[in-house]
Amino acid sequence: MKTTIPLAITAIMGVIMFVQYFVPHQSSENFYFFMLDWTRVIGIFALLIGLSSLIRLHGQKIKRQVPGWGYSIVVIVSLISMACVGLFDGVQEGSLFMKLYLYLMAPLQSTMFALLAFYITSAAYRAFRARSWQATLLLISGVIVMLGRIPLGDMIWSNMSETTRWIMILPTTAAMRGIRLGVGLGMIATSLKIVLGIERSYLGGRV
Amino acid sequence: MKLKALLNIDRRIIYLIMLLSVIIPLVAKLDLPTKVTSEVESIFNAIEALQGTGKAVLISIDYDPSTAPELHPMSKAVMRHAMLRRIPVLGITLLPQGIGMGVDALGTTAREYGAKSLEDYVFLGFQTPPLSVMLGLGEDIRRVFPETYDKVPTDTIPLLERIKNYDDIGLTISISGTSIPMSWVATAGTRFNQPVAAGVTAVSAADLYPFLQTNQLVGMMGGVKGGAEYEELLDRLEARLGTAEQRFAAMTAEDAAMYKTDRYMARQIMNPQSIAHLTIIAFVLLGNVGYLLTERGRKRG
Repeated sequence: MKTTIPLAITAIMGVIMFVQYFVPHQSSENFYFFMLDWTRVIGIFALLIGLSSLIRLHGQKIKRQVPGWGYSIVVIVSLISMACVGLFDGVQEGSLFMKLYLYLMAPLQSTMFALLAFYITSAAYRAFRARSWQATLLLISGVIVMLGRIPLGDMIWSNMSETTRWIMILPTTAAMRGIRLGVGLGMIATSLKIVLGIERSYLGGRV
Repeated sequence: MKLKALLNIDRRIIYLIMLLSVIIPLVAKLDLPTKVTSEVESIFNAIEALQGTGKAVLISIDYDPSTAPELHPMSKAVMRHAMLRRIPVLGITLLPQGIGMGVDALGTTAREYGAKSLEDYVFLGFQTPPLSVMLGLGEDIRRVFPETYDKVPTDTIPLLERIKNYDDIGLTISISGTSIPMSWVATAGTRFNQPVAAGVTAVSAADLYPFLQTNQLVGMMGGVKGGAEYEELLDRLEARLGTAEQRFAAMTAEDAAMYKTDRYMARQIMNPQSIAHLTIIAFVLLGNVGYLLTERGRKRG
């Protein structure tokens, strides 16, 4: 029963939404917008599920005192603090919530992302080697694109940014289009498999 | 032995050199020129074309603080342009963490241009799931966002009386470090014929070139460079109109200095980025010189 009902709902709604797209009638449009409202409500509940999962996961880590459990305390305390500050002081511009967001959370997240620059430099130095002609081609293209994305590139060679543009617009676009077509076909195939009940992993791996 | 040293530079030395490559250009205040590309200029022209039409610009702030150094300056540059031209701005976000970014960007630019909330711009806040929001905006904005971020019911806002759905929005710009701009193209663009533009991180730019080539995207700002180009275009426009000097003259010296720095943010970030790119290239070349010479020595026995 736990499997059959979700599978039936998915199949029926999948077919109805597919047919609805081709029916240019007001009732079809009304149904479509009614369903959009429903997806937004379900989306909000998905956020609540995410929140409860986060609390449960870190709660268990603290309870079992697994290595690094101290960080879980930071997560839970930060979560509760931000929620309380937002609930009692408001979230408008200039509020304590916004100050914590802009002057604590934003610099922390930006710093984490900025650390990539150091790792990328070290990794590129060690791994980016002209071991084959394909690797050499990639290396040359990479260097041209990196130079073409900065003002100094055109100072070194006046056509650097135009060459970079050519690389991005022609070879890169050709490759990306192939990838996107593959992804698109894959999405259609997966959607069909879900509607037909062949793909069931979204049920949580119980079937 | 010396060749092997080229292949094994201590990572702490690499980190130190990279750190200096970022700090020195910031302290030295390099002023490198900005060359504008057609991808960015087309977004600028699309906003210019909205002047006097009564249509709004919808800016979807789909990024969090981690990518803010790349994306925040371009958000602000686009908002400044719209507010300069008195084009209504609607701000939304499809990521919970994008709320703060939206509040900050719209608040800062509105103060600079004297734009009024609910009259000249509206920040509608966060709504989910993204596809449902994008589709719902094609019917009625107020149905998707019953109230603004500041808890003002949207059916009491006069601006939203005349801006109901995509028909009244001249351009949608998604600024994001994720694949959300592609969803905007697929839903707002394909289903509702809504002109869509994107502002993305440099690493995401390659994903969007196919949409640019097919004109499914009006234009694209890629990474800090995209933001810098938009800032440059806006500065040229304001220099032509003489509006910036008038505005700054009416402010306190402190405020004027703050806004002047903010308007230059992406171009300022381009300076350390330029030197950092050169540093990475130098290390890659160094590693390859060491590798090729070592290989040649090995083959010779």
